[in-house]
Amino acid sequence: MSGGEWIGLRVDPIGCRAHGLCQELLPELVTLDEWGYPMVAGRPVPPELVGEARRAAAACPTLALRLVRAGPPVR
Amino acid sequence: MNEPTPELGTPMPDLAAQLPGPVSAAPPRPTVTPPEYRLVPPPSVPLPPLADHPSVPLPGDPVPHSAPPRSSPGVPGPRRPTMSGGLPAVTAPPRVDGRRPAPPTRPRDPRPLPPQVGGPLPALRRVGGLRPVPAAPGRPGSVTGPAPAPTPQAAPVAPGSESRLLAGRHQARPGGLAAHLHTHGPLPRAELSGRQGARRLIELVELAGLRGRGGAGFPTARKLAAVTNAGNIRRTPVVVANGCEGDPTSGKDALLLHLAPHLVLDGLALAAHAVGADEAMLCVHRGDPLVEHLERAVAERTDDPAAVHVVTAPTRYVSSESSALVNYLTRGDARPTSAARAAEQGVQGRPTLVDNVETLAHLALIARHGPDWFRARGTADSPGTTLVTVGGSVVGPGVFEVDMGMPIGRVLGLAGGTSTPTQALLLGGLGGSWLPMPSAVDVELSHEGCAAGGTGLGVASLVAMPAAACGLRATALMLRYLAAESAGQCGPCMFGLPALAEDLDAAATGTMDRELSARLRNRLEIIPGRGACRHPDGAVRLVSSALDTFRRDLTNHLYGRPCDAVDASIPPVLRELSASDDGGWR
Repeated sequence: MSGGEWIGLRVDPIGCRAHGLCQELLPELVTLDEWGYPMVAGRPVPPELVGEARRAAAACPTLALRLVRAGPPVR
Repeated sequence: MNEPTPELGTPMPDLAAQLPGPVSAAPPRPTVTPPEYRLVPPPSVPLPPLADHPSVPLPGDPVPHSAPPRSSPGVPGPRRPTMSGGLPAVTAPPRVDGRRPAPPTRPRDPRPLPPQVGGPLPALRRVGGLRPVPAAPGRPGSVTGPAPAPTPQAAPVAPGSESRLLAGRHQARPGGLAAHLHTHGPLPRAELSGRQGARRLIELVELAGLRGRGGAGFPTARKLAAVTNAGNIRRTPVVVANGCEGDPTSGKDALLLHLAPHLVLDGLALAAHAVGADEAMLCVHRGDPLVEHLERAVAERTDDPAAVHVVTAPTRYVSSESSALVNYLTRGDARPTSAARAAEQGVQGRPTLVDNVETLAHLALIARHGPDWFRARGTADSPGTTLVTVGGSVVGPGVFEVDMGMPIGRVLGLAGGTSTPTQALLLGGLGGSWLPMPSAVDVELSHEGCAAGGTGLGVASLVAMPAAACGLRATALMLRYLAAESAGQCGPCMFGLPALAEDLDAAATGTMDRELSARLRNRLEIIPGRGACRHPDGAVRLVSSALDTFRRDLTNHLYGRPCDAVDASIPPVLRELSASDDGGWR
């Protein structure tokens, strides 16, 4: 993922256990639903937040939060 | 998870031998227990002019000898993917039959069959929300109505009609390979042989515009091409025929597998050839009475290029989802995954084609008759015919083969019309949508027609909802079932579906206030698209359509006026949903 590419956030829905750290670390892009599961913004991560997003992804206890190249969801 | 991964190549019989008991001595499909279904002759009453549309409610044939009894529940111990019935094909060594679990030891189903059902068709009891016997209470039209005699009658082919998938099967009795060849002729193996022939086959499917009949409607040729391209000498593709008809409102796959197994197996062999697969699996639910029937059909065939295995998967609503099937065939866990696409990394990491059994049957006909023949029926965007299951408050429920694009009103006409005043139709199964009557009759049964009607075709099934029933209550019951059938892996599904069910209960019992209503609307917005599979999306679609379709009920209930409708008016196929008693995914 070199510079210039879109970077998006993706949650692995099966891996996520609603620890909520991502929302603590990245409130700009992550909100929690009523059950504590993250809802990530569908838009690209702004360049100034990429560092924070990486830290949030690294801090996820289940490694369910991932940075992905933005584009149509992979499935 | 620490079980050895089943090898696809050789040791299928070993897997079977490891089983603690007979393969299908597992809990039977528990979803819709009470009503006995049987194929019925079409209503002798008001068949509207159907000149060019075949009706395929077939005259009941009492107890086809090939239909095995249901097995009894409660076999302890772990289960693994069980594969048997492999076909000794050109490339595979003959299977050792002796190691297959012996069917005769299978415990008999202890439940007595209702005496009214003189000739229950075990293999067909799931056939749709078909004719429940005895007729449900609250449906006066069918309780005392002119129920068609259960005795076989003459083949009900409307003049000029031509059934494709079920051609020559008007006796509701499956024929063997010889009968199949007599009806459809041999496969044009010579013209399609070799790699060039495989490419030609994909081309034919593309020209035909065949779209998947499992619900998603994805162009089949694109799937075939994707799997072909992903395959190489080290990763030989696999083909999976999905016959696990998960939706209780649909019975078309069971009927097709019962009446025309060789058409499906033809398609499976062709698809395997097209993508270069050496292994093919035909998946049905565990305990499905069709297993033996299918194994016999597989054993009859000698010319198929790939070894065919009949595999039974756990009887859960979501275990027939593509990634769940792949997961089951790889790791023995029938829950959906968020893994890569099956076309690239499917069963055991091999490129995998997963196609609905009806899709494969169409493929077999396209190979025989060509794309122009296929396109002679249906619409430009949804070519061909489709099987549709019609149930609920109609005079003659059944599975019908209709041209894609037929207005829903005509489809209802094939089922003899509604048997009681009907307020709405459920289109597309439990993950589908409610459509209000009478405007629903104009919606065309095609992908583009349903999209124009603000919905999706999904699994082609229709359930007519009597005006006497409460649509919100019915939807609440359905949501309870869908919530219980969640694999419980993804938060929005695990918690969201029970929450939706609760909200609907509140709506149905008149305890919903404006705050609760706002919360429900919010939930409908945040749940979709956040699961590994589309199960929660389907549930949300159902609830959203219910709120629109049953708006009047909702308003009444909002003002604290619960309706006095009784549950008995809800069609049994929706009322008597019960989640699998066995929560196993293996």
